[in-house]
Amino acid sequence: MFNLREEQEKFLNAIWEFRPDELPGDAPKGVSGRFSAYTYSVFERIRASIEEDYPRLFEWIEERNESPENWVRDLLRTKPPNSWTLAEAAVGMKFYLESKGEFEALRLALLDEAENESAWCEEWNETRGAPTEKMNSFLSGSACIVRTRTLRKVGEVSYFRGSEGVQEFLIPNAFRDLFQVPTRVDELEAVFAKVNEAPEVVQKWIQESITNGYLVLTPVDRND
Amino acid sequence: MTLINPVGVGLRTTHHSHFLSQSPPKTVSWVEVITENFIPWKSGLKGRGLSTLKKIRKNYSVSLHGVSMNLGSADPLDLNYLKELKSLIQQIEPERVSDHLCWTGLRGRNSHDLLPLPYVEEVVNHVSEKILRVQDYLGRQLTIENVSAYVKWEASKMSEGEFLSAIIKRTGCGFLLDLNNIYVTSKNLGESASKFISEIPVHSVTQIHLAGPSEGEDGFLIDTHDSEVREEVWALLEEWSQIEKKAGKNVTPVMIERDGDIPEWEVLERELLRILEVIKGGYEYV
Repeated sequence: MFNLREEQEKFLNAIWEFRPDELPGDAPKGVSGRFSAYTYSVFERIRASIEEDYPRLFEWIEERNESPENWVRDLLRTKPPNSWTLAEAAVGMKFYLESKGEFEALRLALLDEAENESAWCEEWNETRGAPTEKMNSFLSGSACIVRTRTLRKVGEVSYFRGSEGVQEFLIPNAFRDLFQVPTRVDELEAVFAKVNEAPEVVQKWIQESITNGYLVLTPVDRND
Repeated sequence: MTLINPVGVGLRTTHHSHFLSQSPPKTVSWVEVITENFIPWKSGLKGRGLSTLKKIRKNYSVSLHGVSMNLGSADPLDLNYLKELKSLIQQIEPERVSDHLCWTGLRGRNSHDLLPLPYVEEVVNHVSEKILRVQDYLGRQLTIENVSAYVKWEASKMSEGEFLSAIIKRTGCGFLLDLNNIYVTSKNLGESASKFISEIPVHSVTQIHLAGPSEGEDGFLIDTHDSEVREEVWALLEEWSQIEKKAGKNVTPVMIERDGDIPEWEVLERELLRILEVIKGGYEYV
């Protein structure tokens, strides 16, 4: 009786446990052919995708004279991808870097992600002029940001793409309030009142974003 | 009788502008998109690009082609994935919905590759059961595609063609005949591509894929979809076309999949036009 689960377990482990310094092509028992083609295609496909997505991070690793390949291999072992989508393999990067306590690496990885997000939107020509859901959820009810190039908000740090590339800002309480309170206010002016209370750096970003057309505040019909 | 242009293409973002222009390409009558690009990710990020696809859908019929149904895995079906797929189907109303006859992961670990299956009765039963469940849930036929293989399971008791035929017979699913995959597998494993084609139930074939692999120094082929369609694969299309005509089957929709080193649309278009030359259909655009 053929035990599919057992055999697939062996096959997948053989891919996952492969190391570049070992002789490639050692197929698990019961399989013949060029097994290294899978170790190559699985590992290289993910590594190439991650390298493409995280250029700053890879540069930083190389500057430390470490091997990005080893980092990726370690990432894949620590947090194996649970979805086909390659970008989701990269999602594991944040958890991995946090768990390693590599916060400078994490900062660079987040900047890379912000850049990717922007590139993705531009490639698909998808979000311009359309409500950005993440921001909408903050402002649903009274006003929505119908156009923004806000990129990523992770914990206390928010990443925006400004005129000079991706910029990062710490989110002070006042700024977080800006996006939380309006769910309970009726007037758009209340949003601007919150803007005025925000720290200068945040005000500056909002003003620049509105001027540059990245950020548009508009009233929303409550009946929508 | 109105003849429909059977030529399609794997839609890639680099060619969106052509498909969204005032005069979209007439070389193709349908496009295939990767399902996973349009459904929400497990990490919670929302799948995007749907509005672009809906615009293109106005002028072209669409095939949804998935890579993560994991039909051959010992794991059960991912119901969340199927739910998202069903929702996408309702929005896009695709001509065909396909995935691969392979396994991609186990116990939550995803390999990011299309891994081959052992051709044994137990696996025929296992995969057939899953396909039947998918078809019941989606309320429509699923089409399955043969994958490229770099290894074979020594436990196999039948050929790939016999394995596929048994599953198709059991489930009534469609078959996406990937001629490049047959070529890659046959060259890598020393098998006969013609034998494979001759074993397939002709009328089950609902779609054909063409693509180009990459080749190592020793001639070993990897299914990368980053080069032009090989002459050997064009020859297989011609061979298939003869079989199809002999069986009195309608012309099967044929497309080119290009995932890497994607050429300008005009270059790809020239390759697409060759499909009509090879199948000698003389089909008219409608």
